[in-house]
Amino acid sequence: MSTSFAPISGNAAPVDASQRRIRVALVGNPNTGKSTLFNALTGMRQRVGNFAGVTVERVEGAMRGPHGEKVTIVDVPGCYALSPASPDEEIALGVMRGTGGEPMPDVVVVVADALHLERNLYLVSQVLELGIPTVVALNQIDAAADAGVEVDAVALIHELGVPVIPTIATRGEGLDVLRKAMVSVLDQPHPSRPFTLSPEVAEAVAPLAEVLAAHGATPMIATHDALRLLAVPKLESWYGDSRNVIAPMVDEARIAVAAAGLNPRSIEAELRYGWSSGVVGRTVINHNAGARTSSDRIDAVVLHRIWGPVLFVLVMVMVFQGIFTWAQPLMSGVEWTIAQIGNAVGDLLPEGDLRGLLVDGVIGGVGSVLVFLPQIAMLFLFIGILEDSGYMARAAYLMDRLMRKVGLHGKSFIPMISGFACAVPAIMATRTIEERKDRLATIMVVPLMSCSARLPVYTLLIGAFVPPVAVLGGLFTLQGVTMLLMYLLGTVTALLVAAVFKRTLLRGPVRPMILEMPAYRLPNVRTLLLNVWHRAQMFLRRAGTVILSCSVVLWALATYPKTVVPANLDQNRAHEMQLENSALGHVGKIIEPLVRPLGYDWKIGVSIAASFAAREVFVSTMGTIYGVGEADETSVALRERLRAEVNPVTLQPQYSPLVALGLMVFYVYALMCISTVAVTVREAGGGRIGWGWAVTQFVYMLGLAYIAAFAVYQGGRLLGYS
Amino acid sequence: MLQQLIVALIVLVAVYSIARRILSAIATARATKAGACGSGCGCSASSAPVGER
Repeated sequence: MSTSFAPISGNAAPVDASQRRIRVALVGNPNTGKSTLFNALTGMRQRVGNFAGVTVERVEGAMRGPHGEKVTIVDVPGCYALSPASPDEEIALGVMRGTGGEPMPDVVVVVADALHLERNLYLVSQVLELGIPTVVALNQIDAAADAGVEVDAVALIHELGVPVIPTIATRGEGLDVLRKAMVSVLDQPHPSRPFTLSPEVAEAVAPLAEVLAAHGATPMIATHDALRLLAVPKLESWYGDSRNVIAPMVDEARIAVAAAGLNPRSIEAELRYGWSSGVVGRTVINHNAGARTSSDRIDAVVLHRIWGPVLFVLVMVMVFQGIFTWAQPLMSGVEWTIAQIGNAVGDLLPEGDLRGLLVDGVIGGVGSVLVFLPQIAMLFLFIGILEDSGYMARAAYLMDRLMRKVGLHGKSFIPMISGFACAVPAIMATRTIEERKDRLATIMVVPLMSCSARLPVYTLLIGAFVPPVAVLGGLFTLQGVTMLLMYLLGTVTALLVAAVFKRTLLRGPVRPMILEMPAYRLPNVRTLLLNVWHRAQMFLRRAGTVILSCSVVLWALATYPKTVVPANLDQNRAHEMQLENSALGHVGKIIEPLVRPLGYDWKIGVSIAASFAAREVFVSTMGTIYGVGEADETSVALRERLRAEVNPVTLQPQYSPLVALGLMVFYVYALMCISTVAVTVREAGGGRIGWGWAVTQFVYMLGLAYIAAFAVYQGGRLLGYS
Repeated sequence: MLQQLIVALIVLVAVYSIARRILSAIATARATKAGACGSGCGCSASSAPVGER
């Protein structure tokens, strides 16, 4: 949603500063700390990470200026230049140019990485040309100093003609000065191109600039675009119908530049890098030029051809073993607390439907999911450590060769890894991928990565049916290894399915990946804990909304219509009879023939169907089903109930390890998430095209889930397992 | 009787909440790319533009 702003008058300060509204765009190369700076300035908690491409959308935050000015800060995805190559960069440039119905920013803050100033100055030079009041935040000066790089900020101010503020966003240093500069820069002369064009180039692009100005571009943007468009393969959509007039002029300008003996495709880059190289030579001292940094030394092992992949596998095994083992004591604590609450509520309320709803529906359903909160927190703690330390970018590099073999772009790895947390932001993260076919192929397979919503399902079934025996010399347990295998199964299948898509519907060339390796750093404990807390809040919010609603509805379906049970029937049989005659039982019996070949009974069938709202609903539904009619009993953990469940006909255990394994495999593959479907529709192009891809994704994943679960169960039986 | 009324009310609220979630997902599918996911997955809390929260 855009906000309208009162126009800013550069030199006339308003009488009441608190009424002044200023719109600031925060731009910069990827991984320069823009979002960290945004959070520090606005107090928001936008996601940050130590790798490129964390921010893929426009986000607004507010702060007050030094005199009470109302400042709106727009954080945009990182970009290396003002020519968009991918959808996330298009969003960034849309904000800068004021396209899409939004006003142009009053001030631009370019966040430049002090350690890589030469490359960052390329974007700075382009922004200065737009003529918008600009401030350069020279960020990460601490990392630069550690690497022996010293930047003379005063000299840089003279070179650029705009304020340059040294900052350390992670520690909040330099922010007060930056806040003041954001406002005071409005009263300073507007910036312009920091270098001059040679007469031949200036002459060659002048007619193009005139045409651009005649078609609505401001004089500054026209001057900027006339040079920029020489290297752009296709005119951007924001030129609209004017493209027909502008395109021939671009060709003429290219011919004129070539006639002067210059390369029109590279002239802009040569001019800008020539200028930035000179500026760096005059403003930067590198005390350790040519020396190996500590990151280089760590990379010698982490990116080693043999040790790198070995270390990667070890890290992954440790993560999943940790999730299973270290969270266990906390999980038992939550389980005990929920059981006590259930018993207390059961004792307080008189017998009746309300007690049944609260104890079986709400506490039995939501409680059975809440038990997994420690594991979810542990998963995000590990993901946070990997991201913040800089290891995630290395993992992407290690995986690049494999990704290229299946036909995916190396950049696909980051969205796929993000899929371990949640498929929705992971699908949005595919915006960093330039090629539409690569992006679509990634979108189609991201939901195969086991997201955190599957964790409760895996943990419930592993906890109930996989014994905690030691394996691999006692280093790990079978439970942890089983969990890892589920994640591996999803990942390997995602790569195979991507290979199929890239060789059929989405055939296209494999492009090389250029990925910036961030410096290693110790993860910031506060950022890590805040991230875990934020994720825990999200999990609790889901538990308190969608899972709660589903639990209540499923309880009602399992409770009504009421069945008159003969007095002489034992309690278990009476419970079973009530369930079978309920609305849920009737629905379950309709579903049962479909799931019977997989070894499931109707209870698992309805739990799977209900979990389309959210995967965790599978666990809450099982919790509700096994709670109904037993409100007067002491609450027992769901996994123990599953272990103890007996088939009333065969008198054999209802759920075997084979059934549990098949069920886990089903959940590895099945796309049981309404949010993912919705986001796939949008990110795949919206409308009919978007729906087409979303339906294809849902159908192939459900088919895969069914076939795999069938193969596990029937294959296991053929091999003599029950 | 009162108990059953309260139960009916809670169940109705739950049904309404699920219906809203489905409508929200449809709205997300129709939304433009520049926006946050807003699909009720839970991730939107930190990433939605402030004006939309």
